[in-house]
Amino acid sequence: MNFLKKAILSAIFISNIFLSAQEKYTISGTISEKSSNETLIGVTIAVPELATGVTTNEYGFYSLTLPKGQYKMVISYLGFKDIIETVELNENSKLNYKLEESAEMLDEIILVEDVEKTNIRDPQMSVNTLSASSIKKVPVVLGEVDVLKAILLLPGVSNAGEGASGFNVRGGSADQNLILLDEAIIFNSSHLFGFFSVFNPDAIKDIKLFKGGIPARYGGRVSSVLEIFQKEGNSNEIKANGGIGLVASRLLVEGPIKKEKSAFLIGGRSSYAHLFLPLFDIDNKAYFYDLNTKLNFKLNDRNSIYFSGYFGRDVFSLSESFVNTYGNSVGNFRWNHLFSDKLFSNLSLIYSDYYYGLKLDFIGFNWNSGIQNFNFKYDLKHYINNNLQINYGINNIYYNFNPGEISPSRASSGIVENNLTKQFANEFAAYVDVEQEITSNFSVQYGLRLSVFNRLGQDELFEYENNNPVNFNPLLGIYQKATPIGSTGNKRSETIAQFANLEPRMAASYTINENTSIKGSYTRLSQYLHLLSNTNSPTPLDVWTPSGPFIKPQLLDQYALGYFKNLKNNQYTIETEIFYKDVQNRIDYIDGANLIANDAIEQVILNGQARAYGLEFLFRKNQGKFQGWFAYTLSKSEQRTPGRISTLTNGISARETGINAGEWYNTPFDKTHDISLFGSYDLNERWSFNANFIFQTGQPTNFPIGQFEFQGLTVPYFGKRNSERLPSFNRLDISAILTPSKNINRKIKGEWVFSIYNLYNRRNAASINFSRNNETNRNEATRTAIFGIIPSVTYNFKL
Amino acid sequence: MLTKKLYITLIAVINLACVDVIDVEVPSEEPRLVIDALIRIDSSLDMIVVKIKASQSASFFDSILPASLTEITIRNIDLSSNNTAILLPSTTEEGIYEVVVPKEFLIEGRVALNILYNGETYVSITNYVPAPDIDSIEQSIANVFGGEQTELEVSFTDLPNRNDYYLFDFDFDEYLTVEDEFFKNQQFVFSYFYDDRLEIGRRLKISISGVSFEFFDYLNQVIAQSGQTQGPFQTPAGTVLGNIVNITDTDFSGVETLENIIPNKNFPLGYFAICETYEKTIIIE
Repeated sequence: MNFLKKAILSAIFISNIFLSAQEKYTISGTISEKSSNETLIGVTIAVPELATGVTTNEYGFYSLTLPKGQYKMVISYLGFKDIIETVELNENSKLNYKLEESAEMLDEIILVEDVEKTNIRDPQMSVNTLSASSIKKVPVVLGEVDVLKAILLLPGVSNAGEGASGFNVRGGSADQNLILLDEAIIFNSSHLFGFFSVFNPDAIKDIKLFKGGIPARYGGRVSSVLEIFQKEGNSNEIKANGGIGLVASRLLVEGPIKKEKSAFLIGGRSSYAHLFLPLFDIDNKAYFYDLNTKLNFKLNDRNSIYFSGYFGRDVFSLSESFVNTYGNSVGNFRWNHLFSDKLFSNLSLIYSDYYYGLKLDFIGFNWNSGIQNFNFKYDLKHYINNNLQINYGINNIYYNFNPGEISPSRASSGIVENNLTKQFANEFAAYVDVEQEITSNFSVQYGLRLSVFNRLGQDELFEYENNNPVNFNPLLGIYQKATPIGSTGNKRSETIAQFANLEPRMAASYTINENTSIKGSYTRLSQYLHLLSNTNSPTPLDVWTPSGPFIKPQLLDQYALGYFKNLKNNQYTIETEIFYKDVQNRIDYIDGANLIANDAIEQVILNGQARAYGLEFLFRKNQGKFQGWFAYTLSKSEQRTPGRISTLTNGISARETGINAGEWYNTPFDKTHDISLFGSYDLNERWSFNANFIFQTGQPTNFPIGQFEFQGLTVPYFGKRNSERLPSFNRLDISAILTPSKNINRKIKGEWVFSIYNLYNRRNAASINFSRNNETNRNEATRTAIFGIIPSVTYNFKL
Repeated sequence: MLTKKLYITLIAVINLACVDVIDVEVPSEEPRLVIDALIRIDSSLDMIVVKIKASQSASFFDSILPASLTEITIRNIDLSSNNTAILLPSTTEEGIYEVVVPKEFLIEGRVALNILYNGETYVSITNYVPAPDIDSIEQSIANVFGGEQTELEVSFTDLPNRNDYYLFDFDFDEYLTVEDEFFKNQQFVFSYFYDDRLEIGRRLKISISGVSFEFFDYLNQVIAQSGQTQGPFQTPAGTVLGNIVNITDTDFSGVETLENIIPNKNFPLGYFAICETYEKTIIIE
């Protein structure tokens, strides 16, 4: 580490000397939207004379250091009018800009809207951004706008099928995605077991998905980072918007507390109470709701503070004898402080938790489980000069895992109150991340993250013979739980296992000409938390478990290369990337593993590895009445868990078989071909049309290699894991948005969204199950298809 | 148990999903020997009928055929005399082998199963596992999941001071496995729901059997894979290997040292277990 640190520091030092020869001044400020004062992320501030520029950070701040002189500055952002201004630079200056939405004139909007264009020079690759407005255009099932469903249309992103929660990035599993909502970690991103995501689209400003080349300021998950920024609130005037849909209704109100100084935002969304259970004539409920709040205060030019909160719950209840509640709560406090016009800092204090509660009255049982974390972050962005920016910071997260508490739901049930052993852990990280322009066509971003994970003492930790919680039984060819030989208890302050990892990150871009560049990156990431799930996609009951004495952290190495091109003056962009990644210590489960309410999860887990590689291609049309993209991904995602070297069973050494005979097998999210097409067409001021089409190779699955009978049951049995596939998945969705023309004179501006999901009513198989039909006494293969054709209508309004 | 109810809700939630029967071409392999040797002990009897079923595995859409064994014996390896019993083919049903032995033969000491089939030898070894009686069964009509279902409220008292695993047989080939982790030494009451309301006058045989931890694990996989609890998001577990070993062409030298051999790759399916069982008969009202 020392060597790398020195190398980085000397690189900074050299470039400082090199550049300090000239007299230089700094322009800095904040860029916001004119009507609401909402700060804007990713606005480009370009200085064409010097062929340089910066973009605003997550808080709308920019800083640019230039030699003394007179410059033309171009401030541009998608969907907004450019500001072109001449600046005389002979002292450090503060320049805040307010961008105006590009008029009511629709034609103009079309010209610039939705240009989520490739930044040719930026070494950052493998990243996709989507604005809230583009997310809202994607036709979705039941008209419920959904952030997570929109990102599935991007190359390299897929999920386990309709109604499945989570998403898979570049062949990684769903628990390998770091989902951040205003910097807080979200552990479960789904409502209703995956039909909808927990993010209220009205409260969202922007999303950014990193699939590779992940900067050193992020860590803790090995596959991707999905950053979601909530709106801050309108500090000019009170505004409200909302919508009435088939599934849920939304309302969001924002406005100033003190004009231009502080603002609030509060948004709520709730589904209707008997969702999906209309056929039952019994007392039941199934609904979800969420609440987003935000307060921001601009204390002065140098200080701003933000409070934000999220609370969401899903509730199911069947005649009060089955009650299931789960959801996330998040609260955070952030303080932006400018030490100087070149040094931006943000301090975040974040609390987040995930709660899962279940009451099963018919077995006399209450259950609750969850995870809490306290997160401290301090990030600094140092804009040294226009060729060099250094980001550094620290992060500490304390986790408290509650794998399950059981209590009797009534006096007579016989259930003895029982708590599964709570687990505690601390994750610390420090990073430095350098963005540097070496020559006008060669830029690099490199960094290093040190992460240290301490598993802290818990009340009871089992001990095993030879420290081995899983035994292989060579006679029967199966893995079996080992019987603990004892247990220890440790104080909370003690460390029972520690892991430290250095995670280097590197990315470089070489600009061939002003419209073409090649980029390459290497990323190492470590992940200390594991989601225990033996299904294809996460379920609400899934439990997170920390690395510790028996479970090692996942370590990823990812390499990516890309070719980026803008065509016809940015009207079209092409992004092509190839990637290879390898994850060590991917956990796998022994056959028949029980992951629920298991107090000794180490007895059913083996450490394996995973790898994925592929090619992604994205062609986008960014301007004009017709906009859209074509995305294609060709990839492979596999994992394997070879047998451990040898175990001694009664003095005989035997080779373990591993899982799936130790051979590589397809992960459940291996999809060879993945094509998505998205298009939007603005016909006139009243009508616009959107469509998307998806084609994917069928998901890997298992078909029985035979059947046998045992105690009257017909039991299909399976061979090699995931060696068959479901039929290919394809679907076309369309939507039309009508903005009534009488709107212009009205205070309430309304909009109708008509959509048809799965237009040609394809019965895409979510699963194929093999079982005996007890009525016909014949064996059957039954296909479950989640959604057929679903038309819907939603009304949205603004006032 | 928890999982099962969760999946019921999952299914309820996606009841707008459609399910249909489709044609699928499935892979196949050579038939394997399948032994269904769950021996239930009624403690009130002195002599126990041992009934073992032998069949052959088949491709999923083919029919299952009985297996004709060359020889099948059970032997109590901890008894010094009168320790072997030969099972004879049933005269009424093909693939069934039977013998009557004293209860002590099965419940005291280790019992080995020995089978000769198609020139190959299979062995297994097991121990008797006790069970408590069912304290009571109450029946009622429920409508928790929409429509009417017959609900049985079953109570039993956990055997004291041990880790216990139980198998409930609710007739209709419906099974439920229970472990005592959360109600050790207590009387435990739970409800079981049939899919529909059962017809009045229907006679049901409900039983509880004690099972070993390994057999509990096996049963869970068998029950899940037969489709009883397999929710739409569940991944199949695998081959479901039991506790019977093919010792053909191995250095087998006796069941006492069975664990030291590397078994023949042509493994059989099925399980050999001896369980104490209490049965209650109820008539649907």
